[in-house]
Amino acid sequence: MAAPSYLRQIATRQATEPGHAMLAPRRILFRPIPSLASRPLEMEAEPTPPRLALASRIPQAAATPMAVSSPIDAELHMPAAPRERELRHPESSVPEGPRTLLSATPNAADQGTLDGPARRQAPTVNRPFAPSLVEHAGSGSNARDRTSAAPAAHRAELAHPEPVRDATGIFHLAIDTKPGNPNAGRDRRPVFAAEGPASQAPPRVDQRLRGTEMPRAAAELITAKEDRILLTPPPNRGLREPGASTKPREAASGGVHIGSLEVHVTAPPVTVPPVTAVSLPPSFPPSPVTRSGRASAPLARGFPGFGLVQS
Amino acid sequence: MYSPADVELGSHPTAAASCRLPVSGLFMEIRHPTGHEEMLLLERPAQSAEVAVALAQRLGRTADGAAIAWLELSVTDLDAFLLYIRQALIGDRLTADVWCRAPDCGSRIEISFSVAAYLQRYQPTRSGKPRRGWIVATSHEEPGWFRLTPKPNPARSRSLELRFRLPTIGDALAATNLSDGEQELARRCIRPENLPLRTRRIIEAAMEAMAPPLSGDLEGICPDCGARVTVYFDPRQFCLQEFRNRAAFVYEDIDTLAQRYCWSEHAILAMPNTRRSSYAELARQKRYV
Repeated sequence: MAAPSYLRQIATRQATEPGHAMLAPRRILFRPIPSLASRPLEMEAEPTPPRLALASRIPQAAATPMAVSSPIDAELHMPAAPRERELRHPESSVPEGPRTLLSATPNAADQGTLDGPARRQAPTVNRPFAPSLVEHAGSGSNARDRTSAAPAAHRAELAHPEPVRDATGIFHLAIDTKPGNPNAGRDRRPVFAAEGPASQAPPRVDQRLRGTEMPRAAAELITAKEDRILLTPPPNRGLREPGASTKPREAASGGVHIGSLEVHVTAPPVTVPPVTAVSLPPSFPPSPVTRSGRASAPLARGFPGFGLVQS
Repeated sequence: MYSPADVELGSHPTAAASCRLPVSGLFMEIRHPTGHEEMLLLERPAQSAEVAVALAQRLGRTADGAAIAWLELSVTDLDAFLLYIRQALIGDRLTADVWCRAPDCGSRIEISFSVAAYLQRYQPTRSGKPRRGWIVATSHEEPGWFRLTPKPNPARSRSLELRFRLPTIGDALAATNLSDGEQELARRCIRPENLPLRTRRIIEAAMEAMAPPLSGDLEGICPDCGARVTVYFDPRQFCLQEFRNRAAFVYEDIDTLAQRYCWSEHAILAMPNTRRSSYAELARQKRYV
């Protein structure tokens, strides 16, 4: 077909043939981040004290159900706080009443990957693509995580549609880039790059608790809440064999596993009535909980709102 | 309450880049876009030529700060300026995906090229250079018009003189909604009117050499099936769509900054978008710390 005349090209600005495709730009899913706002990696890896706003927001009611937004929809009945102490961001607008674990952000490494500055929100038109991306983020994990992460991430994405990206717009697989993980770096797609283990490996909880540079308020808060919630690393976490990540979890008899963390629900002060029950979905048989009992329920990884270290 | 408008260096940052328009030869500075330009992109009808002109008017300045009468410049200059903006704000490498239309193929084909190389390929030729037996010269009587005369030939008894000017953006806008826009452009830009089609094609060839259209077909071979793939590339639509995609985050930024700093929408929009994005990103970081 002959080329259209110059004036026709100017007037119509259309393809020579009607069937020709129009070159269109790629859709961008995540906002471009200015370099001024990106933090160096060493700052991302710097351990910061855990913000135990979870415990501090427990209302004064004797036994308040605390909804855990997890794939298993487990509910933990937490005892009342012995004394009210708030340590939360002024902007946080978490309503009173039943609390979720969404606000718990234990360290800066997580904030850099899952819940902090990495929270990139795609345009509305692109949001349907986000769950698949989140699922892809878990593709480099071990088998157990793969089986649980995909539906968990999908459900989490429905509740919190923010896709998970970092300041460079690249997926950072902090969970899967630990040395010894057989799946680390398996994904070669350019948009999903694995960040180095030094900046992504979550600091151990005990190290953070022992940190001397911890802000005073956070240290006081941790001390005040120790009698109710203890965040301790799982046994032999650092010595875990590749591919055997489920064994320590199964072997651990107590505590609620939130990723690699283990939450011990211990007895409240005497004035607090006993905890009633732990409701679990049918797939997990409910375990009896006493005042000093513990509930065991693995929570899926890849949940962007959690902000907790996942293994 | 503190407002970003209190900062004197607020809304007039230094130029993001500079460029020279290919046809007019104007040296232009490209300003950093602000939220106002992004709102312009988002809230005007898509693919509108007026949007491109308005964006160019907002972002383009001469070196001495004077505004540009874009409606009097050629279409090529506007398209090239949008590509220069894209090069300065996003990058030189332009990448897109197309799908092979051959039966039983349908594979995805990635098209990637350099903006600078593309512009270099479509560099206009200067007037006055003999072309196919015709000489183009600037008309001294009418600024902006050119004379097209045949080379001296003793066999011809009389010399024919044609006059034309390059279609401007104003001409293109006037011809956009007409059923026969081509005729309208010819009526505006070619003298005498009602020339034979063959003569008009000679004039149009001279126009195309002096202001080559940057929109056109790109051809390639499908790497999977070997079929010829042709896609139409319109730099104006492409760049506007890219800018629009990136501007889609302005609402989120306004919401974040207004919540955190209580700045007004106008003050937030007046900031360069790089600074606004930085503030918004820091606010998001603080929100989750």
